[in-house]
Amino acid sequence: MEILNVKNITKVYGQEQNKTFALNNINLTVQKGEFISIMGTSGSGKSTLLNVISGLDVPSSGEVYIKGKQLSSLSDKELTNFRRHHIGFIFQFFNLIPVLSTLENVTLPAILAGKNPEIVEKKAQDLLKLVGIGHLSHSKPSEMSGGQQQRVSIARALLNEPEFILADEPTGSLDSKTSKEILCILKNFCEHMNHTLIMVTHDAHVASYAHRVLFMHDGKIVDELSLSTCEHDRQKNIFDIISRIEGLKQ
Amino acid sequence: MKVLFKIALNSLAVRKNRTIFAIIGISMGIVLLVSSQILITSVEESHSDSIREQYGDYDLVVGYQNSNQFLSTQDIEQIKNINHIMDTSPFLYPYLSKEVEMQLSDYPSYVGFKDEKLAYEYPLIKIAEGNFPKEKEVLIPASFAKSKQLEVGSYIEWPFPPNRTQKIKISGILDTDQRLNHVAVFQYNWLQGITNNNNNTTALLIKLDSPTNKDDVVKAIKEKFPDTFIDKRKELDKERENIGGLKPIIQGLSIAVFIASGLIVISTLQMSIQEKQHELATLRLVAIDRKQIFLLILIEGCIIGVFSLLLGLMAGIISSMLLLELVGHLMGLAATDVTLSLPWINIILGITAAFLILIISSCVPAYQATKLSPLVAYHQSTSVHQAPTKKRAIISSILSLSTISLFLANYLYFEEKILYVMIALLLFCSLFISIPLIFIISTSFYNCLPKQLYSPEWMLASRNTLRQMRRNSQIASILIVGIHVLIIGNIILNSLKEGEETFLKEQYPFDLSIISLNPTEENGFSPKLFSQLQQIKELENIYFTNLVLLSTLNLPIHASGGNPELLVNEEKQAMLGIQGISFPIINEQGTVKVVDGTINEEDLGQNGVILNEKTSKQLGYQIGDEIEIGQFDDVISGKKYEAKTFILKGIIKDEKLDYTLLTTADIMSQQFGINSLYKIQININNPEKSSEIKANINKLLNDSAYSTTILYDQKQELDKIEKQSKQRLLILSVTVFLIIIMAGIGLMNNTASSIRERISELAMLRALGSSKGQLMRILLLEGSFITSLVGIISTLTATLIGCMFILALGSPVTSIPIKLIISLIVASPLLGLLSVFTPALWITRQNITQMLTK
Repeated sequence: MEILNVKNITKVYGQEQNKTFALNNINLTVQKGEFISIMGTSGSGKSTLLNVISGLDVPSSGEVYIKGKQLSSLSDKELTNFRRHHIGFIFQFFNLIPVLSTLENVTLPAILAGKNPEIVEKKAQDLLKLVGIGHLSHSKPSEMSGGQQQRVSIARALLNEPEFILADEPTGSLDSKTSKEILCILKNFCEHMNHTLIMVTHDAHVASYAHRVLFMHDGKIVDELSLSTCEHDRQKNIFDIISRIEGLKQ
Repeated sequence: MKVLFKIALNSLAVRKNRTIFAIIGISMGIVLLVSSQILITSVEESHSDSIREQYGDYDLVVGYQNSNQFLSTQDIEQIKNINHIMDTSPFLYPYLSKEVEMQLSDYPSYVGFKDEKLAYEYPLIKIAEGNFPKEKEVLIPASFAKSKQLEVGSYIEWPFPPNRTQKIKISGILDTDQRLNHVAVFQYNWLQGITNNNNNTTALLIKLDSPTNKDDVVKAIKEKFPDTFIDKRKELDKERENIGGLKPIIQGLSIAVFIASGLIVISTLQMSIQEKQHELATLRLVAIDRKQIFLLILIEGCIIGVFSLLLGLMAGIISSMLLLELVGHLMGLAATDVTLSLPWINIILGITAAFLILIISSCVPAYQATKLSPLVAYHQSTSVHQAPTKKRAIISSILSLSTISLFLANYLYFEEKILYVMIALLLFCSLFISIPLIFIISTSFYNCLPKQLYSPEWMLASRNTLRQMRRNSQIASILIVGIHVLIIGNIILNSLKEGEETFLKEQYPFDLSIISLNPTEENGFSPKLFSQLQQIKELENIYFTNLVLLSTLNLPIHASGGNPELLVNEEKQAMLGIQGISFPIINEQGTVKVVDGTINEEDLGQNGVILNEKTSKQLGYQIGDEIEIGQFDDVISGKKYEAKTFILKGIIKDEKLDYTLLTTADIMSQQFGINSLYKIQININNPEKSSEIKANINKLLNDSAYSTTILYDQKQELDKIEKQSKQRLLILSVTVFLIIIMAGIGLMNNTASSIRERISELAMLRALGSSKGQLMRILLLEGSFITSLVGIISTLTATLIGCMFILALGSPVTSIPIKLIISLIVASPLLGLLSVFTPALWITRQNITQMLTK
């Protein structure tokens, strides 16, 4: 089932002579349950694409359809509501509220949506156990490691059972071992709970966890790769494409 | 140093808006300081000019009120040598009280003055036309000139007994003032000679170096010349007191303004340090040392201080010019009477003191900045929750609880006044120390609420308040100062006002009181005035003759009252006064209640007296008892005295006439030679005709025979007290209003800074699904949470402290400003809402994506 349809999206910054195309006529469709990685170097437009998909940013032209709904037709209130119920965010720097405990951070989106705190708390506890930090539900973010904080961030993103999860460099601040753990959790959620996951990364190894990798360069999707089951092949294929793109850059 | 200065300037310029608001906040305090100094000085000087115009600029009149006694030249020299006497000017009434005898009734009263500066201050020397008289010249009243068709330069022949008539030239005509209708002014020396009064002076005008030395001078004069009459010019002191009394209030309020300004500086600089931790860390990493960091922050404080002072000074002067007329009107001065006066010394001293306080305040955040570890600052990893240390929490808890306990113990058992003051100060200090603890307890209290009452906005708002604990504590401190000054000031001023009103009503219980300017034991005024007043139908009058001080000689042994130091034949006696009173005896409520015996004039006979119930019980005298007395001075000095016996004929219920024997005027005259009155108390039975009646009474009092009396109008005096009280409350309210505005500006700055620090966090909330409204509510709640909490607690503690100060003054706590307290509690959250509204609105309008990347 098609869950996301991006049609001719362009995002331009600056005026006439100083125009910059952050996104340049992007077209994309995503099926439910897919795990998509968007790769590219700094300034390629991958984070901008993520922001446009989520409705955080408005494209200069083109349309985004999520489950058939046109995002540009929604008011700010409707967009906010939409994000609350249909999208989960995972950020590179976790973006947890430092004054709230782990449990409170996880339940925050649901509390903001006006849901029953008791019901939500139970669900949050279960999610924390699922990501392996059930014992840290009353700790503050400053008392936890980066990996633990990112697990909180994941639990928060999943609490409202969103249609899809957007992750912007989720392992950017983590070491390799922790990154692997996080990626396994994300992949499990994708495959077993049928969440759609769109992840932005510049790391080929991280990208290799996805079903499909989109390569961006200068605001365009320049290539696409559906990945085989063999890990070695995946990474090799990714590196090949990157080299080709780097060659283009030169 | 130059580099540090440049960095500091740039740092402030980058955060332009915040810097501007901080400067505005501090300069408001300076405006208040400067304008209050200018306005009070201007009003005081204008008021002094007005007093001088009305009353003359001299402090005492010393002399005699008849033409049998005079001050000699040697007497005058002795008086001049008394400490604190700056200037004197003599005058002579050669025929005082002898006009009829000398057949001068058809002429104005002759008075001689010297042509000198002090003489011109006397109200009689107001020349409308012409010049001060020389020898054989005279200043005549305008009415006399008109009636006799005389003008300047005319000649008249007037008698100067015992010498012959003299041809004198009219040198000038006096002002058309009612007071000047009955006097003719001559050159002093010439009048002395022509009336055979060489070396004689009726009285001396005296100007002191300061009115505050009046009592000392009067005492010194009385010691040398006990028989002289001294006019202390109490009405002048009262007028001066009205404005002079405001000065201590303004000085006191200035201290509150200094404190508030200092707190704003600390708060602003701490915000600045918080925001540029990374910058400071970079500076430390590139080898700038702690001392230079200290100087950097101090320079920032100085820059803010200098701009604030300059702005405050200019705005203070301009606002004084604009407000001068209004303030003058509020103080009861006409617009034309008020002129601007700039007390440069006071202004400069005030500004200097303010600058020093700003510098000292800057040292606090500067010192804190030096404590930042470069790496900690570089990683922006400050403590999430600036919780007070355990030690501080324990100290503040103990302090708060012990002050409350001490207060209860003192109130219930000890009742020591000084202890009330100490407890009040302790409570005030403990409140400041306990601010963080109060915030924590309040948020913890919220956490105990059932989950159903949870609101995410409250949860986030309360936690963020704790996160900004240090800065919020400073804002809270400013608010605490303001609220305490307002409530305590109100309680004290209202209590003082009530005390003054009560005292006034005790002193002058009737609508009007005519009282002799002399003490009660000295010569008063003629009883003729009472007869004249009796002819005015709508009045109810009672008189009191002058009083004689007595000592009992036969006080019953069992008497609980009396004076243990007053011993006659080694037996304790009592000091009493005896006074004649008019009959029927009345008080302000009407006829006096008779407890026992009789109070009819006829029944008192030749030696009947009346006591009040309290005195008769204390002294043990009952109806029919003989009260043996002697004149107090004679008894106490051991001189030979004549014992007199009176019979107690009546006992009345009256709270005011303690230790006073009341009798008839005839008995006073026969037994003590007292033929004058000390006081007449008047009730007006027809309030509608009150103005007309008062005018009639004033007309009677214009007679020179009653020149030593003063009329007290109870309503007028109460109105004066009310007006004074309102003036003081207005000044208090304006000052506090400015302090609260400063707190509001501080809170706005604080919120703006806090928003900048957590902009990505707030963006994340929006990304997670928080609406703009929710974000706005979170921020508004943060602001109003601080102000509400501080408002409620401060209001309660301020009320308690105010009551303690009243108890320390020995007064009962009768007036608590309930309306003010409720208004403050209601207004407190509104202040928070208003202060944070603009920064909250700003953040909700920002682009989420841009905020996320910041």
